[in-house]
Amino acid sequence: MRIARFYQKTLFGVFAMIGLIVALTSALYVNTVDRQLTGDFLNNSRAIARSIADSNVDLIVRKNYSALQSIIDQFVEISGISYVLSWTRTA
Amino acid sequence: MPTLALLLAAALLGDPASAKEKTAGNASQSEIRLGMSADFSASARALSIELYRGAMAYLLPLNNAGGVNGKQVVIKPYDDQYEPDLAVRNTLKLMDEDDVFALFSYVGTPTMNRALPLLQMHHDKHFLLLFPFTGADTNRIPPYDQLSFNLRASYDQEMKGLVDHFVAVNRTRIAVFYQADAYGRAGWGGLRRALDEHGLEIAGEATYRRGSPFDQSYDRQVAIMQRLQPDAVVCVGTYPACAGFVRDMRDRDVDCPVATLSFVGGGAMLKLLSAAEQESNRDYTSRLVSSQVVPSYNDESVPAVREYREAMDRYRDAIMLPDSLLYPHGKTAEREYAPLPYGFISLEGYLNAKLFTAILQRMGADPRRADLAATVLAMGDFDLGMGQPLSFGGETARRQASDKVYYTVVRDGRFVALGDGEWEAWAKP
Repeated sequence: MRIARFYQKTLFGVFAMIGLIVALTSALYVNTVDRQLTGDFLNNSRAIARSIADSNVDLIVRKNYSALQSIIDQFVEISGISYVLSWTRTA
Repeated sequence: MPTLALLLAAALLGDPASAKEKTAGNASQSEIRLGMSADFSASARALSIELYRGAMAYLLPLNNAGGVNGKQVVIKPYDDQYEPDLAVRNTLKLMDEDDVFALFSYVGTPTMNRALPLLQMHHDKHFLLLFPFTGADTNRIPPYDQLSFNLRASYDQEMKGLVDHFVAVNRTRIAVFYQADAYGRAGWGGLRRALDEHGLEIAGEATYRRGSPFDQSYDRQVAIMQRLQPDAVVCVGTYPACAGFVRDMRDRDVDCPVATLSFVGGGAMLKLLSAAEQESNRDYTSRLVSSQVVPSYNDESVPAVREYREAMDRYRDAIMLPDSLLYPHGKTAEREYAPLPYGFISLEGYLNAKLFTAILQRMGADPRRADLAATVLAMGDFDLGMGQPLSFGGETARRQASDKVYYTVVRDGRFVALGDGEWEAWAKP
């Protein structure tokens, strides 16, 4: 009887330990993937914004909003890409 | 081996028959082809169909009478469903396969914006885009301004006129409802510039996705307007979305004036709103003002309008596009398009064709694509019977013939001109 209780406790401990390890690993994994994806999205967004800005100086200087929007729309067709328009009184 | 070399040589040289058909920038012996990419089957189809019908109402009798210097003027239409990718495909086809004389009356900003770089790519072939149905800046300022000529005033000019009139009657909080694409952005930019001249800013904005139908709910956008409480709203969209937005605004008792630009398609919008009025017994058409870039199609004191109405009456059935283009997925009673007897857009199409014919007549018996731009720029002042001065070229090398913007309101179920003195009635209480 005593042995059975000892086994029960050990078994519970083992399962608890496994559960904890799985939970910690999952949290770590989710956190890592989230950080990596966020980093990738940020890098891609910066690269897209920079490539639009660098290759369309003429459109930006002339405030050709329509042509710029056409270029942005081509990137928006890529899944996962969206944009926020921010503007000031002068730019 | 010699056979293989011969075959390779033949392949490289191309098909002699097709080479004969192609004319390397000359109009072919019997016809002058104009390439038109527009939405003939999707959300903005009424605009494109009416523009085409108007152009054909001018060209059909012209061709019946022998054409221009014995050449028939033919429009080669392709459907782009208002989608830029399809417009790109159509443009390449028109330039490379159909070897058109010029691109003509393209419909829409997002589609035109993607076509213009292709013209620049083919600059050695001297292709030009003549009289697109858009008022966007893209073909009016560098780097693409040298690739196009316009008959109509720009969205900036339409927007400036609307804003100046609204501000004059103390309506300074102006919001915008616009299509989330290059067309909407063009209108948004025009509104921003126009307000800036008065030291004002856009009061707020709401957008919708291109292709949104009339039946969809626009409550989300109307809720934004309810919160903003603007003095006026300017719509930069197409007729189904703008009509749906106006309906939902009035249903929620947001009753400030709503202005629309010429591209909206006033006739088609009025048709939708009038039908909705009958169903709901509410008023959706008062407090609407529409800017236009051609005179009223009801104003028979204008010679070009008289000609146009006569041609539309006479050729009503003969100027329709083929069903294969209008109904790519099969014709159904639900999808059947009922043409408008007259309208601003078909009048613009008619005037576009009339202007192109006037240009062609100046090019002589052997028109060459390479001479087209110089011919247009040499036109100077000219008259199309529109009751307003038009000009190309001159000291500033003008590439837009008209700067005139007209304003219309709905009375007794039809658009009538809004005179300058009548804006007072729109004053903020």
